[in-house]
Amino acid sequence: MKWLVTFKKGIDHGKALKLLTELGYQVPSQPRFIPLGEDEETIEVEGPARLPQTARENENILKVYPSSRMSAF
Amino acid sequence: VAKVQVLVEVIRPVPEAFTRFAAAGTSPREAVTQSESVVSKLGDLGLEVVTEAPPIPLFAETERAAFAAFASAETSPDHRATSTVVACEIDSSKVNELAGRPHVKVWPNSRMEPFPRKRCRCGGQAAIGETIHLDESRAHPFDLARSAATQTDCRPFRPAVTLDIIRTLLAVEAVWRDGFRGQNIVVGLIDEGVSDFYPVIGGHERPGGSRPGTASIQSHGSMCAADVLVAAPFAKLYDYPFLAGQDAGSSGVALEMFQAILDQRRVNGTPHLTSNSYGFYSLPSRDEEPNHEAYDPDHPLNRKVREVIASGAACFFAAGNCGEECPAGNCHSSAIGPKRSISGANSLPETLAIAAVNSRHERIGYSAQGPGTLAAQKPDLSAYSHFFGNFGPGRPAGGTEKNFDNGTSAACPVAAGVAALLLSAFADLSPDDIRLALTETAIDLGPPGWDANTGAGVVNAGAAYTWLQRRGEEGSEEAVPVPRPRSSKRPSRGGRGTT
Repeated sequence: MKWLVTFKKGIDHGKALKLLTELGYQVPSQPRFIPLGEDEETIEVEGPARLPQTARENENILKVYPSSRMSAF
Repeated sequence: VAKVQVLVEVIRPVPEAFTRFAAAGTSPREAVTQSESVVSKLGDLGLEVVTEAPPIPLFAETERAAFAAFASAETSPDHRATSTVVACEIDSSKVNELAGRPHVKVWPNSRMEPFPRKRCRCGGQAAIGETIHLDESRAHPFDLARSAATQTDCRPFRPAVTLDIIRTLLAVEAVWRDGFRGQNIVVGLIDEGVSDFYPVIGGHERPGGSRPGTASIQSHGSMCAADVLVAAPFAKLYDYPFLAGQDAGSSGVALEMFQAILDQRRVNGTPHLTSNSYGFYSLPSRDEEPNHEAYDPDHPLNRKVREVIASGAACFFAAGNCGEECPAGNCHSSAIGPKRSISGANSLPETLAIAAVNSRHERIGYSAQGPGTLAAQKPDLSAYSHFFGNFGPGRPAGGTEKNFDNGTSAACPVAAGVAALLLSAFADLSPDDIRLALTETAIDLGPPGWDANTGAGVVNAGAAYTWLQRRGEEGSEEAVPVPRPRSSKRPSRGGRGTT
């Protein structure tokens, strides 16, 4: 399952990736943090469905959203 | 003594005249009661009310000025009538006496009839009252496409039509005649990838993804490219192939594509708008996944789309293909019909969701219906689908008459192409300006105003162009047609602008 994890802008990317890995998630081989507004940034990771629950307990993670799959109309 | 029919006008104020008229219109008894009340003081002249129709209120000049407010879609306040007219019968010998009464005017009540056919010098046209039978093979597209259409085009669908018919219906000629054909405008296509048969000048390549301009001519993205060029044949394209390659179609990849768009806009103001013909065929329940982008306006993809719009690029989205009458075969029940079939960024208030109609202005039965999951008033507009654009006999991707551009996927870039055409003439239109010009001039279908099947109606390039010209003449300098200047905010000629 894929997730979009948001962090506060300016977080050390290496630290964020390490945290996600420790939580049991696969991070992309070429990770790209995408800015959101002025205060946040997000990255897509892959892993089991419990991420929103475990992330809630971590002060560095702001929120976790599902990354869905879309199709051509 | 002969009786004559007259219209008796009694000059006496009547408050809430529209309410009284409406009440009389629903009940013949009430109509007669009201009429007899109006002429009650004239009974000594043998006046008889001869109709069960409601008495008709007439208004003073000062009241009439307020009627301008009736042009609004909102219900206006009631008004006071200054006089009332009732159809009566009276002895001809007493007409002059009636006319002499205070506060009374008498008017002839004439009889009108249809002009007899023998007087018609119509030169072969149908006389009044004759049924017109159109030879469909010779009929003008506007004769077949009716604004009152309430039919739905479901399987088996009506045959597709030619590109020329769609261009006629869009009235692009009015804009082309003035020299505007979408030149100097770049449309971003977030899709499956576009063939280099079409004018791809940039886009975004992600790791594990496809390079812009390298997709097959048979691709969905190539169809969308063809459909942008229906109205704006001189527009150029950026290709963001997010439905192809590794992780195709994921929100994360879409997010990356929209960030690439924002990056490019920061550099040179392009693309000027985007077209997005994708979305969901099934949805989780809101309880299961409240943070899914279908339900959460703060989902990162929804936020990024809003950032792109805030940068000045309108975002057109296909409404979707899960309309309840004949949904696409891969639609799950969770995404079919009103409240479910327009979701995610397609249903954001800031985006333009485009429904699909055929060339006869019939809603195509798979076209998704509002309300949307994020904004109630979706779709915003309709545009044409089911025509030979990329696919079909003699078209770039070829095929038989059974192959044609279809889906709300085709309708969306048609509408985006109309916006590109307008932008080539009016360089400074904001996303809100584009929305206003297209919705104010759309050909409204079904009941008056917006509806959940076709939105504000079918986009019309010629009408929107004229509307913007008139808005300019009325004092808004920004709306005077001015070709997009060759400023620094244009794509560089040196490279493909690929990020």
